[in-house]
Amino acid sequence: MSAPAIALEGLTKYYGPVVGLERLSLTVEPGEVFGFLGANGAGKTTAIRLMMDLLRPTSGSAAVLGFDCHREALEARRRIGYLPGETPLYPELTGAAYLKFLGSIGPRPPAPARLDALFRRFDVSDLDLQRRMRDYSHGMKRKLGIIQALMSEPQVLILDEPTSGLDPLMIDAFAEEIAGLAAAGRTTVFLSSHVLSEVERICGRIALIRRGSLVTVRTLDELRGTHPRRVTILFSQPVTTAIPTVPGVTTVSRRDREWVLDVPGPLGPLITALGGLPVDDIRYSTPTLEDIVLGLFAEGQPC
Amino acid sequence: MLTLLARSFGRVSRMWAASALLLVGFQVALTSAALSLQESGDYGRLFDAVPAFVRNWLGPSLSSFSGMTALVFFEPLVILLLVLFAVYIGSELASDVEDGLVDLMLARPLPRYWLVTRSLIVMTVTALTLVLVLAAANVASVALMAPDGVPGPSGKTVLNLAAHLFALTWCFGGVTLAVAARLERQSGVLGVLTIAVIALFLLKVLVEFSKRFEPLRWLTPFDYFQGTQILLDKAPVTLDLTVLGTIGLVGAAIAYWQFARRDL
Repeated sequence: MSAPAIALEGLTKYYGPVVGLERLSLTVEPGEVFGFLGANGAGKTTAIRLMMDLLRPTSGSAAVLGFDCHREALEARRRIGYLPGETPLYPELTGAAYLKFLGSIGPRPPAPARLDALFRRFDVSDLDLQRRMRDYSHGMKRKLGIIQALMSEPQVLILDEPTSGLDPLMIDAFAEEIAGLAAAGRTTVFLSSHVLSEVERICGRIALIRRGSLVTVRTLDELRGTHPRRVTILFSQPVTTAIPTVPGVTTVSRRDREWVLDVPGPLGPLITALGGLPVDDIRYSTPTLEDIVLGLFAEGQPC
Repeated sequence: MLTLLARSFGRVSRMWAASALLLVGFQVALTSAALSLQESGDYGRLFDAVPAFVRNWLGPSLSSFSGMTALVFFEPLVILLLVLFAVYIGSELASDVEDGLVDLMLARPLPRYWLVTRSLIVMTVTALTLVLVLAAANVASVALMAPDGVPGPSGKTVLNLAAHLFALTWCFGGVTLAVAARLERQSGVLGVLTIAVIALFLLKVLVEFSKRFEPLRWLTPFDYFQGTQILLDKAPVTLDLTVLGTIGLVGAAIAYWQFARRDL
């Protein structure tokens, strides 16, 4: 059986008395596109920097494709493409020289065809590449950052807030690129974000982190399944009978002609229980990922 | 490693070139002044005119053409220029951390110690080549400008002075590496080291001017470069170079240890 693409075991980092990350354990399988969600300061970047061996853990361990990120850091990093949260640059270099420099210290020189494909995908022209980086816009710097992470075709991509500063077109291009990598199945993508729509679009599974601790790791469908749908039942005439007891169903509000209920799981048992009542209409809303995530970010939510 | 070195050398090349030009200009100016004094026969008057403490400090460099042309190696401005140049180059590690470039470099399969080695090599090579430029300028200016029959400093003297100047520069460069491997901001490194350099230089001046500070003499690296004693062939060359080299080596060793274990 092959090693997980990423395996974190009790990963903990304290900055003095401040908790950066506490006992984070999770596994990402090869070929997955994994989202790492959390509010600002939740510990996303700390976890990523621990994986990159830029920070040293207080306890616990991280491994990439079976290689310990600290003890076998070179082997692990040989397989990683990394985009930091802020794109560092050499202002005096042109974009082309920047990529050439990073390609020459990387595990293997990027294939020209791969570079060309990335330039086309992210709409980077020859003229752009000849300009000095100090003259780049924030979005342009970010595009170069993404390209440098992808250009060597790494087995594992670790991307910290990859789309921050990109315009909608480039966010689309990024999503398409990641979808292509996911379809090919050769690359594992681990990306942190607090842009929920982006994660919803790109990722198959997500981890939520709050104040340095893992809240949950689920697929998006599982996450949605754990949260009740809000069902509004409208009656054609006032109803005074008690709301029927259906396991799991909770009452949000009731008026003469309207009940609002939270219903986890299938609607069948509730509809059966409503038999004989003058139901005029049933409306329901599925919680968006944003609703779910915001709920989980809030204090006191169960893990 | 070669790519890292090329990038770092590229970044400092203009500053190196400007410093080299300044040093050559300084040497040419000093040789011109020495020539003027030689032609007017004013060395004796100059020696008598300066205060006693300056005479004690600069001694033979004020009394002859060869001494005056050799003064460039231990002239405070030149020493401070070279030392502060090495401090700047040695602070590259902190600059890499501050700018986040260390994230990009260490996302590749490069060992951390390569970055320290790179900065050590760049600091050593740039400092050494600047001293060699100064030595070449000294030899060339004397050869071209010295009046007939008036000797310049001997080859051994130039070599000793250049070796001391390089060792002093390298010593501060090594200490800078140690500080840069710990701090996260280049400005912090430059601030700490600039203050330290000036304070230690002032201590050297105080030691020269006042007997009261004599017990503190050993504390300042500047005291291990006694230019006038080298001119008189009385300097403990081996001891001085060993002390300065050891300080630099200890600084470099601390830099390796510190950078390997720190959070970036």
